[in-house]
Amino acid sequence: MITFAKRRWLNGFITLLAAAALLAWHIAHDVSLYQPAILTGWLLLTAVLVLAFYNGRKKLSMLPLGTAAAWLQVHIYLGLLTVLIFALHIDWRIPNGILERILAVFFLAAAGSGLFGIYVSRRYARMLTRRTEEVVLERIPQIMAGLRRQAEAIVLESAAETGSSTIADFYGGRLAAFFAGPRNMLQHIQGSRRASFALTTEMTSMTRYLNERELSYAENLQALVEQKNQLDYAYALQSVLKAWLFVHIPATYGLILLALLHLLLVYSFGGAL
Amino acid sequence: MVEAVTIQRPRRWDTPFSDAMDEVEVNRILGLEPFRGMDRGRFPETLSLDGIIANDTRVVHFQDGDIVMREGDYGNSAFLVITGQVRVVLPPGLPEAMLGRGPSAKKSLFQAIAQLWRNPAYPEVRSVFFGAPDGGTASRDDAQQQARIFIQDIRAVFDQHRTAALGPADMFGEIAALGRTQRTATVISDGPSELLEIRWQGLRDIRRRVDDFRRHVDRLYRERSLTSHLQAMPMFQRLDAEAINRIADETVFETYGDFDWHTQYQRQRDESFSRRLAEEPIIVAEGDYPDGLLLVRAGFGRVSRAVNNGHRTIRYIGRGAVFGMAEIIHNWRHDDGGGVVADGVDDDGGAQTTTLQSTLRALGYVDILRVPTAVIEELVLPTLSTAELALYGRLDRDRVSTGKSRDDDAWDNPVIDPGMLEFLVEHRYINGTATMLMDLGRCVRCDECVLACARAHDNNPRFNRHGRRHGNYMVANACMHCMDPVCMIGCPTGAIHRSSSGGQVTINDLTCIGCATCANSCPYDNIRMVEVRDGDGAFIRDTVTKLPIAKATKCDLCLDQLGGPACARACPHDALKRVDMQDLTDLGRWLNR
Repeated sequence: MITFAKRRWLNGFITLLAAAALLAWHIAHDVSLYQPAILTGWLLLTAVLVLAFYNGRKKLSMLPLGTAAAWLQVHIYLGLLTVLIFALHIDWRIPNGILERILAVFFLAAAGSGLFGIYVSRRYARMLTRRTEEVVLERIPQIMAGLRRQAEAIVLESAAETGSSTIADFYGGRLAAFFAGPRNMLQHIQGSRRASFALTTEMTSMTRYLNERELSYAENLQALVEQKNQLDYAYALQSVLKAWLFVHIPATYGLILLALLHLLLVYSFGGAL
Repeated sequence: MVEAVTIQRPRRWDTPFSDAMDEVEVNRILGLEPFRGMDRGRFPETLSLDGIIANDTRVVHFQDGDIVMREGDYGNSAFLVITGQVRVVLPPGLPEAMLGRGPSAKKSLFQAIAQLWRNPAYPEVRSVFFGAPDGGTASRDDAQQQARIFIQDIRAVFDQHRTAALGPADMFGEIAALGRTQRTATVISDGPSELLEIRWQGLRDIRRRVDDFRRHVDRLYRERSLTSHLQAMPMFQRLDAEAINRIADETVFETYGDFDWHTQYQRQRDESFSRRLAEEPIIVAEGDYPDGLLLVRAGFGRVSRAVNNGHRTIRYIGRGAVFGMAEIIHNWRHDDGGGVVADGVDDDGGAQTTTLQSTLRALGYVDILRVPTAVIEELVLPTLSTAELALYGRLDRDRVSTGKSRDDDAWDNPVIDPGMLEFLVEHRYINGTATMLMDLGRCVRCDECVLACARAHDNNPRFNRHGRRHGNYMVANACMHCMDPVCMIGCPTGAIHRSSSGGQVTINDLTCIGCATCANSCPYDNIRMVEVRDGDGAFIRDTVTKLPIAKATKCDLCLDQLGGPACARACPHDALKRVDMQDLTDLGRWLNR
C-alpha cells in the first residue's frame, strides 16, 4: 500500500515517460518518411479497446483479474496518454473528412466525459460526505414523497387547528412545488445555496404573521424543508456521479464502431500503405 | 405528569438455564461428584452452590451417536457425565461434512463466469432444499424440541477413528467454555447418556470458590494449552522447554468482564462514554507497579491514559497481545534502586524505574495470563537481543501522537486518529478480522461493491452499504468474521462455523435450521434471516406448519470465489477495504493514505 500522493507521482511519472517515448518515436518515424498515422492509429485503437475493457472488468468481478482500483488507475493514465496519441494521429489539426470529424467528436466526448467523471468522482464524493447522511439514490424519491406527506399533514393540521391559512397559503404558493420532487438541481451541482437561502428567508418573513401555535407548525415545516434540501443536494450530486457515465460509455462504444469503420475505409481506400 | 414505570432491577438468575431444575433434581445433582465433596460454606448465600446448580445448569439427554459438541465450535458451557458414556474423538478428528459443515471448495473458472447468466431471477432461491445426509449425519429434535445432529453409522465411526471414553463424573469442555476458545475435540454420545451442562457463569463461580476444582481446571489448561501458547509467543521463542515449563508453572490465570459482553454491549451502547468506560473492569491501572507481564488469552482490552478528567484510548489489544513488557524492560534496565516515578524520568532527566504508563481495561470479556515480573526478568529478558528489547520496550507514552506526518516513520508506525480509535473501540469493531471499512470521501456511491457481492451470491447481496460513520469513514453492515464470534455460540446444528481453510465464519445453508440464534446473538446486526424460494420464486414452506423456511445469511468473504472478497476487488476508487482490526499498522496506513 502506498499513499495516494505517491501513487499520483509514480503514475504521472510513468505516463510522462511513456508520452516522451511516444513523441520521440513519432518524430523518428516522421523524419524517416514513414507514415506515423498508421502506427498511431493502431496504437489508438488498441488503447481505446483496453480502456473500454475496464467496463467489462467491472462486470467480471467474480474473476481474479486484479482489483478494479488498479484497473481504474490504468484507465485514467492510459486515457490521458490516449489524448496525446489522438493528437498525434490527427497531426494536431481538425480532421477534414466527415467520418473523421464525427470520429473526433466521439473521441472528445469520451475523453472529455472521462475527465469530467474523474473530477466529479473525487470532488462530489467528499462533498456528499461532508453535507449529507448516507442515502441510496434510488430511494430518494420515496423519501421525498414521505417528506411531502408529512409537510401536507402539518399544513392541514395547522389550518384546522389554528383557523389561519397563512401557512397553507405559503405552502400552496411556495412549498408545494418544492416538495413535489427534486428541485434546484443545477444550483446544488454548482455548490450554490442561493435557492435554499431564498426559501429560508421567505419562510422567516412569513413567520411575522404567525401566532405562537402557528410558529410551532412553521418550525416543523422548516425542519422538513431542511431535510428536503439535503435530499435535493444528495440527489443532484449522486445523479451527476451516475449521469456522466451515460455520455462516457455510449461515446466509447460509438467511438469503437466508428474507428472500426474508419479502419476498414483506410485499408480499403488507402492505396499502398 | 406521566408516572415513571418502575420494575425490579434485573438480576443474574432471573432467567435460569433451564426451567426443569426443580429441588429434587438439584439435590440429585448435588449428590454427584464433584459437587458432593464441595464445601458449600465457601459460597455466599446470594450465590449458593444450590443456586448455581438450579440456575446455571441443566440436564440434557443424548441418544446413541448424538454429537454433544464439535471440534472448532465456540461454546459457553461445559459438560459433566451423569450416566452413560461419551467418546472424545482424538486427532485427526471427524471430517468437516460429518460435523455439519459444508464443503469450502472454490468454483471453477467456468462456474465463476457462469454466474453472469446462471444466477436466479428471484431473491434467495435454493436449488437444494434441505440438509442431505452427505456427511453421514442427520438431525432430529429431542424431547425438549432441541435440534440434535447425530451420526447415522456411529459404530463405523468408532471403528474408524481413535476415541477416548468418558464416563460418570468426568467433565469436558470446561477449558473452551472458560477461555472462550474453540472446542478442541468432538464428543459423541456412546449409547444413551445423561449429561449436566453447566454454563460458564456457574463454572466460573465454582472455580473461584472451590480450590480443588480450580486446581483441576488450571492443571488441565497448563497441561494441554499453556505451554504451546507460550511457545508461540515471539518473545519466548528462545526459551528452552525447562524455562517454558517454569513460566507455565508461575503463570496466574485471571478473568475480567462479562462473558456475555455482546448482550451487555447492546444494552449499553447508547449510554454516555464516561458511563460505559466506568463499567469496563480495570485490569491494571496507570501508575500501578508492573508486577507481571499480562498476556491476553482471549477477549479484548482497552489501553488508555488519563487526560485531565477523562481517559484517552491509545490502542486496543486482543488475543495474543502482551501488556506491561515495556515497563518491565525499562525497570530491568534502570534497576539502580533509585526509586519509582510515574513517568520514568527523574528531575535531572535521568531514567528511573517506572510505573505502568497506561490503564488496561476489559472490553467485554478478557482472559489474562499474568507472568510475574521476576520470572520475566530472570528467564526472558536475558535472552532478548538489543533490537528486541528496543522493540518491546517502547513505552505507550512514546506511541501517543496526534500528528499526521507523512514521513517514512509515520508510514512505518502510522498513527490512528484518536477519535477514530475511540469510535472503533466503542462500537467493538475491533472484534473484526475482516471489517468492511469504507472511505466515504472516495466512495462515489456507484454500488459496484454491492453488485459484485450479489453476483457472487446468486444475485443476493450479503451486506448493506450502510452503517455507523465516523468522519469520512463508515463501517458497513457486513459480517466482520470476528475474533470472538459470539454468533457461533448456541448454534444447535453447527451450521455456523469457522472455515478450516481461512478461518472465515460461514454458514452451511444445508444444515441451518433457521432458528435465528446467530442473528440474535450478532452484536452488529450483520446476520439476516431470509425466507427461501424455489426456482420459480415460490416460498419453500414447512410441510406441517406451512410457514416459509428461513435461513441465516451473511457475508462469507466469497469463500467459494476465485479471487477472494468481491466487494473489495470491485471498488474502483479504493474506498473499501476488509480490515483485520488487530493489524493496527495496516489499518493506520489505510486511514492515512
